[in-house]
Amino acid sequence: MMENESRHLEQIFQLIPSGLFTVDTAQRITSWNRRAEEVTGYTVEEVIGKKCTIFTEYPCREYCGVFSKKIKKPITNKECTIKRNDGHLRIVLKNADLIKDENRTIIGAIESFEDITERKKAEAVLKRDKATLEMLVNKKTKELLAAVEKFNKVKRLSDIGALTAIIAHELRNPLAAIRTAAYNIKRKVQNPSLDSHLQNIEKKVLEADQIIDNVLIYSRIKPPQFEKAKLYNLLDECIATAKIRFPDCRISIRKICKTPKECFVEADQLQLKEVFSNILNNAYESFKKKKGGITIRSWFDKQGHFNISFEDKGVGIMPEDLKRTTEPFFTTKKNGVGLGLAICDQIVNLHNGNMKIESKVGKGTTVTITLPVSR
Amino acid sequence: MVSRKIMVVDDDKEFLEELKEMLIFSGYEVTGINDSTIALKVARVVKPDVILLDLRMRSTSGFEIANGLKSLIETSNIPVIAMTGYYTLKEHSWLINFCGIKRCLKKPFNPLDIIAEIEKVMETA
Ligand SMILES: Nc1ncnc2c1ncn2[C@@H]1O[C@H](COP(=O)(O)OP(=O)(O)O)[C@@H](O)[C@H]1O
Ligand SMILES: [Mg+2]
Repeated sequence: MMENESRHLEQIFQLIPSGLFTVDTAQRITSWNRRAEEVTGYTVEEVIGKKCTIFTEYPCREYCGVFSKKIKKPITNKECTIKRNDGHLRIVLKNADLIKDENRTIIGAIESFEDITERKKAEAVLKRDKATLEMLVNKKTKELLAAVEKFNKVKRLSDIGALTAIIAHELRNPLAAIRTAAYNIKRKVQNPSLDSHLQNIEKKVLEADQIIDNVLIYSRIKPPQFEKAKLYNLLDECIATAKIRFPDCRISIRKICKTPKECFVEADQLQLKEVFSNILNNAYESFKKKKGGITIRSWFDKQGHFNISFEDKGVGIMPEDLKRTTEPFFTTKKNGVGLGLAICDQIVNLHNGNMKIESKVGKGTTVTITLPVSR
Repeated sequence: MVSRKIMVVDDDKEFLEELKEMLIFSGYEVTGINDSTIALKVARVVKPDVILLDLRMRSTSGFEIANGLKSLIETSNIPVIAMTGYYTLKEHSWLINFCGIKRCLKKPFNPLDIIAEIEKVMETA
């Protein structure tokens, strides 16, 4: 009966699909099953009587929990590393408990372990894949949101586009009548006391006309007609126009060009003129005292893109306004329309370019346009 | 000097009134036409020296009128100056040229500019 039971136990000991071994109180190995041989590479003969540290690594080598009073027994699902007899490290998951005799005296310990190295590897890969996947999903989500935002903006633009174009045009007829009527009054009445009022009418008609122009340009921005645009000529024209536009400003313009004079960019000349003019206008308007300097720089960046920046030392833009400057109709100026930079932004985007606005209140503003040289 | 005959076609009644007044004051003889459908007929009768023509009108458009003028022997030599708040000379130049329109002024123009234009086209006519 006893013998039978013992044979039975031996059978279980050998057949169980986990590494299984026992040690005495001095941690010398007293038994060692087949699966333990497979996992560690050590045969029974090689380990019996040896200390179990012959194959244990971190953390069991420094600190074996089984015989420590502080650790609760049985120990279950503890992860540790072992070293096979061929030197390879394996990760195992182990359970361990003390063996006591009938007097409850500790006479040794029993430990079972399972090789989970492959599982750990798979988990690591999975974890990495999960992280990559999450990152990808995040990125795509962001892209999608950006696209939706862009779509909404474009949609808004096309809505105001169609309607404003009609309204803007229609407004020119009454303006024409008002302007001519004012002229007729002046000629007929010949009364100098009316002159200032009539001048105001004229001035406001022109202002309204300017607003209509801006709105129309904005609503009419079409896909660019690409041609080889000589930017220096364009720029010089815009500078000349700005000087005429602001006759009572004393602004010096400095050009620092690191790009050859003859270089060109595939772009819509009229549209780029619009961009340069608007940026220059803003720079001129940024000088409260109507005097100062504007620096225009050009260079090719590492990607070979054409860059041009307009730097003024004017009033600057408040941080909370900075991101709104390209919003249609955003303005902080008394007579502003708020379409200048919106137009620039649209045009630059249609050229697959980029517009960057940097500014510090009281220090000045730099607007940088980046354009691909060819489409 | 015989006074020059100007015909003005515009469907904006108040503008037409003011422009007519202004031109008369400047010494021209003026026929104002508010209803663009009769413009061609009137032009044949009046035989103006210059026609000032609004392009976008509710009924017959300025382009149609200009085309009609061009195709009739009696009117084909009358210089036409277009006035428009809608079409730009730059963008619509082919359309404007196609209809035989010599000059184009953008509304709201300075009244003095229209006189300069009138004198210019009559010089070359
Ligand atoms: N160079 C600049 N210096 C200071 N503020 C600027 C400059 N450029 C743009 N801004 C700010 O951005 C706003 C929007 O500019 P813009 O779209 O050109 O419209 P607007 O000039 O009609 O106000 C301006 O009202 C101003 O507050
Ligand atoms: Mg502006």
